Parts: sequence; structure tokens; C-alpha cells
Amino acid sequence: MKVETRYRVHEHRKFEQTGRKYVADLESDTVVEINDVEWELLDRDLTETLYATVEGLKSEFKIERIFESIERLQRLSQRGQLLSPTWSTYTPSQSDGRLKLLVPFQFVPEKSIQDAVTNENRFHLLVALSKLAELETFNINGKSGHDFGGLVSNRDINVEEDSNFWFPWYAMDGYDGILLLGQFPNHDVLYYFKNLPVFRCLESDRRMQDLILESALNSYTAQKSTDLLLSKATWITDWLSDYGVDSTEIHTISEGINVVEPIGKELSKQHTAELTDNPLFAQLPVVGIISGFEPNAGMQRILEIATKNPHLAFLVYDSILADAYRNTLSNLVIFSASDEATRSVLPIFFQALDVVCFPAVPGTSPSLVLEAMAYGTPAVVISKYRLPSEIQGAGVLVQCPDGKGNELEIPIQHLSETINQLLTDTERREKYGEIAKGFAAKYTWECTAQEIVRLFKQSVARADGRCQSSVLLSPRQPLFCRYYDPRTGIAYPSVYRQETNRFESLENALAEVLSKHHTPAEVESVFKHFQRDLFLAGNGLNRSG
Amino acid sequence: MLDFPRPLHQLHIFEQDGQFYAADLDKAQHVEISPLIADILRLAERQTAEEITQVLITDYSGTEIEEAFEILAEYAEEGLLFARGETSDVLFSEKTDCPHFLLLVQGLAPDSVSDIASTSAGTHVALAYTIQALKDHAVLHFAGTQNRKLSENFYEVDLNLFDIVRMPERIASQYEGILTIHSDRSQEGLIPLFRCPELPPILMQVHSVGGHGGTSVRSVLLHYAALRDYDAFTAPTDSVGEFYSRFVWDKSVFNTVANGVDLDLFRPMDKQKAKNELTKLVGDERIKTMPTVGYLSRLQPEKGASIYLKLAELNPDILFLQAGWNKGRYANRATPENLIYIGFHDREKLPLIYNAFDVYCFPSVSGEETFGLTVLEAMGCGVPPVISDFDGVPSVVGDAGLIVPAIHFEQDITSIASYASPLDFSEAVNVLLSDDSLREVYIQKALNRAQTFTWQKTARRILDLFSELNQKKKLFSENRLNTFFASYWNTHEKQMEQKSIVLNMNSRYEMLVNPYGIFNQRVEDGLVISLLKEHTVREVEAILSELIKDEDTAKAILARCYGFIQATA
Repeated sequence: MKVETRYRVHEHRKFEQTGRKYVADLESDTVVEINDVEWELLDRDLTETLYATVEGLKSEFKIERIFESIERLQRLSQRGQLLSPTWSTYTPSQSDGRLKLLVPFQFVPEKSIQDAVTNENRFHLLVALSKLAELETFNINGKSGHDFGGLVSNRDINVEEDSNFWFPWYAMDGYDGILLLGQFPNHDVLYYFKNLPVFRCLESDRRMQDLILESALNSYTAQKSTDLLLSKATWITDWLSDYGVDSTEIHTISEGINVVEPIGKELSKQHTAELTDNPLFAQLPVVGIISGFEPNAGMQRILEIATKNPHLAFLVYDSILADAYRNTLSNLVIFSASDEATRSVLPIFFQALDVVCFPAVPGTSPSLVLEAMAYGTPAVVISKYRLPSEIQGAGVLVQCPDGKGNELEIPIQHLSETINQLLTDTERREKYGEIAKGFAAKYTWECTAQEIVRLFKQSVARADGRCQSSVLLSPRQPLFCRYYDPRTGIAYPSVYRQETNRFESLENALAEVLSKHHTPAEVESVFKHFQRDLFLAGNGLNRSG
Repeated sequence: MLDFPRPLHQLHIFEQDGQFYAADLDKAQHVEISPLIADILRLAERQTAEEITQVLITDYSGTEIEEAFEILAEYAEEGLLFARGETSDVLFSEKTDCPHFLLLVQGLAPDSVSDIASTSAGTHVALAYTIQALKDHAVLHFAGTQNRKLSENFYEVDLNLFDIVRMPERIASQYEGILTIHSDRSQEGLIPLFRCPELPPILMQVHSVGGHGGTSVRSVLLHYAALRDYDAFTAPTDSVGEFYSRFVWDKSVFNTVANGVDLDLFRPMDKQKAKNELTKLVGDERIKTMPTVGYLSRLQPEKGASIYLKLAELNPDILFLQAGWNKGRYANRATPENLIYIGFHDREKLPLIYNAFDVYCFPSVSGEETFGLTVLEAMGCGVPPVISDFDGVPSVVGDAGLIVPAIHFEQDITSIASYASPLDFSEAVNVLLSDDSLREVYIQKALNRAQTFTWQKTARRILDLFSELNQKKKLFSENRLNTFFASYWNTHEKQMEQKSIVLNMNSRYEMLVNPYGIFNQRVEDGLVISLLKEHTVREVEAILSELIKDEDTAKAILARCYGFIQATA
């Protein structure tokens, strides 16, 4: 999807004669009869947003007439009359230089979809961001469910009664950027029309994993060069690379973590034993697993490793399996944080761990991994690629054979051996633990918010003064047709170019016309589908342009 | 030097940033002018050049004024500032309920179709008769180089293709349709017209199919691609649509608008009397006594000259008459004794010539015989025709003549697209000439069938078509849908695939159907919806025919996407 075009009005002279309105375009030497709406439109700064134009005129004219007139002026522009496409000059929305960001979200009960951790993290992010930027969200039909105590302002929008526009319309109104939290995968792409930078957070929720992948790929092809996908962990970035996403188009920003005052490992183990009603957690070394496994195969793996290691107690965070598997093995407890009460005991559980283990796959919650480690716990990481950079120096790697996402083949034997080795190697465990303790200071919500704001400012600056299209378009639209070849008597699909009076190959022209309305990634997608060659360089189709 | 006083276009003279401009409202253009020219233009409609000079000489030198007149003469030559002929408001001053149509025929002067008597080329004859019949129901403006009245309800207007494209809204407000004739002289033809969605419906007459080394087919296919939803082709017989349905999906844009015949002119006469008159005209006594076969055409290979000559050689007892501009390359060749070239004659003489024929023979092998107007004129005179089974002529003749088998070439060779054996023609001609009672049956059939073709019918059909197309234009909806393309992981096939997504929000930010945000579709659907924003249905047809092997699948995709756009508009 390409963003809306803005226009510069040509130097002109408007006049009325015999009751009709005309404009002489002094740049194209043409004279055009115009209506009263067009008369007004030509007085406006058409580098402003469509929203500003329509809102500015709707008290005088019906909205439909305003759109019709805008569309007519756009057609004239295509013929070189009255308007020329231009890139709007960025004007900060706030005089104090603070960014004003639109953050569409809705905190409503959604336990069936996402757990309390996801919501809590969003809350922390918004609080931290609100200290650095002005945030506004839409209160659509009065459904906004969270009071941020004035940190995030609510904008009331009633899309059902005011049926002219759907809510993305309002995103044009004075924002410097749009931050999509990833809460509405089906609606997020509607915001990509804006000239504003759009950043979209990639969630790591296992329940929505298929949808997350699909919507991430949608956003990837829809995004313009000032947009970004924000990943919360390097393993999410790696995961998307497997599906053809260029990792340079994703920026990894770790979430902040929530660490409480430590109470000591022994006391935590006792509390854990009490909370889980399982004395083994006070007696045996405790291994934590922040599960990101695919639920069915994942349970088998969890049971397998717990069975292999009866001398260890396993505390497994798994938001899906927790409810279904309460009493399995004596040395195994599966828990989740589905509400604030269960969330509040996680620091106790985490402090009880001697080793934390996690598969670096997209379903693994990055903040919980870092949170568990921040109490001084070393990690054993099951990864296809490498030790994630977030925990560098604080863990060991168990390499996986090849596979995609949840289809990774987990080497249980190797994993089990590595855990046991680390548990017996006190020196190494302490060394890793020391580094992990530094996470609390390193991964803060302030840092996350600062990085997001920095990137937004960078994108906003890049958007300023940029040429709108990287593709050199022909002055006249090519005409797709059939070319009759008298040598064969066959009419071949072809394209006719008026400016050269020639018939040419269809592919290049198809890439060219698609580029008018679609990003290079989209054009590539179409050509891949039809298994056609797309000469990217020849068409000037590149993301950086 | 221009004569003054002189009528001006509607002008608006203004000054901006020290520069004077004259906005020509009739031509939708403006020019930079000097203050002196602005002064001249203010006086131009009331005063002579001398008077203008006298008025302005106090402020400007004589040389300056002379130079200004020269500049104005150049503008006048370009058709700017000054009305050529009548002022344009005269053309629309008649208050009438009649619809107005614009005729745009490239390379043709209006005079060549305003007087039927002096017209000879079949296409021009048909156009002249069509105009004559249309004038009974509508006001016709012929795009030319000046404003003037040609006859009742028929005007020439100072408009060219570029003027029309520059001010499509005004054209749309003045005309209910544009009638054109396809010409393959320039490949581009009238493509720019079809690129203006504002223009009223365009009906393009197609009078040729094959021939011309493929240029004709190529040009028609190009215009086919450019047709907007509310444009169409007309052709004098179904053969044109059938021919092009080999190449394209939508045959429905080819509308048959049969030619007519002027039965007041082309009517039966006493045959012997006609033969006697023609004898006097041509000076060959054999016409009086011998059975005659006639053919009105240029004597050229694509018109079947070779077949006609061989036919004469095969039948020395029959007199073969040929009327036309000249004998072409046969002028310096020995032709059979029984072939008489009777020369070119004005249209008013044609009934006499037709009536002197016992049989009319039409052996043309060119790919552009979409109707065969001379065949119908001969039938109007009660002359039974013998034709070949090719192109549109058989549908005109019906059962009122004899049709000989012909080979249809799969593809043209130069301008030749078929061939019928002279032996078959000979047999058919002899069947008619040897049996008086059979010939009488065919004479009656020819007369009856000719009655069914009238120019009034032609005119009414054109008016009906414009009416239908205007309905389509009213119903036409802009495509404001938003689509995009993306990859996805097909979990069943375990591979990356591509899809398109239709957003549930149009470019006016209206929700389309229900509160869901996006709809996953096949790439093909998204592609069609995206392309239909700025390309015609028939352009997308060309693209799909390249990308999708199965034609039925491709047609179904195009149909559903088009329907979706209309349904959600």
C-alpha cells in the first residue's frame, strides 16, 4: 500500500465570468471550469492531510461533494493540470518538540486470548512512553477500558453514528506517528495509508502465533520506508527471517522487566513449595522452563525431561498448558499468570530457580525470561541459531537441528545433560548469575520507551522532504492490450506506450503500474505468485528509495 | 493580416504579477499577452484594424501595433482567441429537446459526408447516410476547424482531439455521445479520448477486420483494450464481433448496426430500358443484347479482380461490366473481350448501372468486407447477387442470392483473407442466368430483403446504443477499494505462498461491508481489484490472459472482482 498523495497547487488565477467559475493554471497554460468546492480547495494548502482538508470544508459543503471535488482535482493533476504531487513538509504537531503519538489499544478483559503479562507489559510501556511523548488513543464507541490517570489521552470516536468515516480516518489528525501495539492484527494494516511513520510491535503470544506471523508478514509488505516492525527479542526477528522478512526492516527493542526486592533463594524455595503445595521445590534443585513450545508436542517434551530428571524439580511457565495439566509428575508444576493474583507470585517462583531454560522460539515471552534471570539465574537456551544477544554471557546454548518455529526438533537428551552440567558447575553458574543480575538495570521500560521515541524521531526526520515514489513512472499510463502479430495470426498480451508509440513486454509495465499503489515488497509478492521475473533494479523498485 | 472587426472566443483578460494573460474559455487555454495585445483584444470585435490603430497610436508605435497584429494572426492560425466561423454560442443557441452528438472522424472533412451525391467510398457513403438519418432525431456536431451550419441539425465545430481531451467535462455537458469511425492510419488513433472518464459514451464504428498487414486488427485490439465501461464498437454485421472473439473475451462490445439502403434512389427500373441507357453511356452495343453480370469496385486483387477476370474468361457469352475509379494495375493488361470497364459515375447514375445488370457479382477477397453496401444497393434495384461465403456479406444477402463456398484464411496474407474459386462463381452465375423463373424468384427475394435495411433503422439503433451507454455511465462506480499483497505461511503445504488482502475500508475511509478489518483473497483477485483502479476491464483481461492459463478461471476472477467493486461502491 502506498500512502496518500499530497499536492502543491500550481500558480493560478481564479475568476468568474458569465456566472461560471474558472481557474487559469499559469504553469500548464490551461483554463479549467471549476465548481464552488474546487474554488475553495484551491485556496487551501493541499499539502495538508486529507483529514484537515475535509474537516476544514465540511461545515460549508457536503462531504461527498468535497471528496468528488478532491478526486476531480486529482484527475486533473494526472493530466498535469492545477496540482502537482509533492511530499509534505513535516511540521511537528507539538510546539515543545515532544512527539504526539497515536496508540490505538483497548484494555478490555481478554484472558481468553492473552495473559495478564502481555497486558501488564503494554501498560508499563505506555506509562514510560507517556513521560517522553504525548500519547493519545481512540475511545471507539465508548469502549476504552483503562484509565491511565491522564498519561494517555482518550479521543472519543463514535464510528457507528458518524458513519462517514471509519476510525483510521482520525489517525490523520495531528499525530507525528502511530504506534501499533499488535493488539488488533486485523485492523492494524488500516493505518498504513498515512504519511506518518507507523511502528508495529510484534507480540510473542503463543495463542495467537499463527495470526501474529500472518499479520507481521502483512505489515512487512504494507510498510513504507519510514515504518518499522518492532520485535521484543532477537529470536522473534530470527523467526521472521525464516519467512522471508528482511531483518534490517525489524528493530529489536527488549521490553522492560519488572523485578522486585529479592527475598533470597532459600526463602523463595520454601514459599514456592508452599504455594505449589509440593515440598520437592524446597528440597531439590529447581529448574524453570519458560515454555514457548507448541502445546501438544511441548507437553511431551516437558514430561520427558521431568521424567528423565527425577532429582530435579521443574517449574514450568506455560500460559496454555497450566490449566489442563495440574497433576502430572511429582517433580513438575506448570503455572501461568492469567490474572493479577497469579502474576504477583511470579517473582517468588523466579527467585526459587537454580537454572532457567527456554526455547528461543517466538512463543517464548522475552520479558519473563529476562525477569527470571534478573534474580541471578543462569539460562540454558534451546536455539536454532545462537545464544540470543539479550542474555549474552549469562547462559549456555543447546543447538537445535533445523526446523521452523515450533517445528524445531528439541534435543531433550542434550538439553538434560546441559542442565545437569550447569547445576553441578557452581563456579560457572555463579558467573552467569552475576551477569544476569545486571538485567534489572539494563532492561527497563524507560530504556524501551527512549529507544522507541528515538526511532520515531529518526523516521519523522527521514520522511521530511522525501520524494514520494522511488519508481520512475512513465508520464502516461501504459495501455495493456493484445498485440496482433500477422506472422503468426496470434494476438499476444502486451502493453502499448503512447509516448513512444510502441508495444512492449507486459511484465515491466505491470511492475510499473503496481508500484504506483503498492510497495516494492508487494510487487515482489505478486511476481513471486505468478512465478515471473521481476527485474527489481531495472524497475527502480527498492525499499530504501 | 487579420481582418477586423472579428469575433472573439469567450476571453478573460487579466494581469498577474505584472504579466497580462488572455484566458480562452472556448479552448480551455490561456496565453501570455502584452498590454498592447490586451488593448487590441478589447477593441477587436467592434473596430476595424485601421480604427484600432488610430485608437492605440497615442500609446504605442505603429511598428508595435503591426507586430501585435502579426502575433494575433499566429494565434488565430492556431485556433486561439478568435472564433473561426460563427461564435460557439450560436451552435448551442437552438433550444431543442434533441440530443446533441459529436462526430469525430479523423482525416475526414465534414463536406465529404455532408453531400451524399459526391461521396463514393463505402465507409463515407454509410456515414453520410447515417448522418442524414440521425439528423431527424438529433443535432450533430462534426469536429472540424470552424464553427458553421452545414445543414439542418448538422454543424461543423472548431474542435480537435486535443481540445476534447483538454475539456472533457464541457464536452460531457454538451454532448450525449461521441460517434467515431475506427481508422488504422495511426496506431494510437483515438486512445486519448478513452483515457478521459468524464467524456460521454463513445461509439466507434469498425468497418474492417483483417487486411492491411495486421495493422487494422492491431489497432482495433488496442482500442478494445481502451474502451471504458460505457463505450462500445459498432459494426455493420455480426461478422466483426465473431472475428474478434477469436482474440478477446468480451464480444458484447461489438454491436451490430446494419447499414441501410436508400430505396428512393435504388429501386427497380425496366431492365431493357436500363441496358439501353447504359449502352448510350458506355458506347458498347453488346450491353443491349447480352446477359450482363456487374460489379462496382476498384479493380484490385483484394477486391477479387483476379476472380472476376477469370470469371469473364470462363464465360465468353456473358458480358461482365465493372464500374469504379479505374482499372488499377489491369489498365495495361489484356483483359477478356467480354469485360467492359464502364468507368466512374456519380451516385445518381448508380441506379441505372445496377438496373442494367442481370446478376450482381461480389468476389471480394479482402478482410474488410464487413457489409457490402453495393450488394445491398444492387438488391434494392432488384438485381440478385452472387457472393462468396465470407465476412459479413452473406448475412446481408440472406437467402436472396447465391453464395459460393470460400476458403477462409486462418490469417491474412497481405490484405487478402479468403479465396473463392472462379469456377464456383461461374456455376452460380450461370444457374441464375440460365433459368429466368429462378432468377425472378431471387429478384423478388432481393427486393424484399432490401426493404428490411433502412438508414432510419441504423440511426435508431445508434440512438438506442447511446441511450444504453449513458445508462451504463450513470451506473458506473469508481473503484475506491484498497488492496495489498503479502506472503503467508501455508501450514498445510508447509511453504510460503502469496495472497492479497482487501481492506474493509475504501479510499474515502468508509467501511465496506462489516466490522472486520481485512479479507484474505487470492493474489489474482487483489491484482484485478488494484488494476481496475486505473485500467479498463479489457486491459485487465489482457493481463489475466497472460498470467492465468485457464481462460474460464480468469474470466470468473475478472467477473467477481468487477462485481465486488460495483457492489461495494
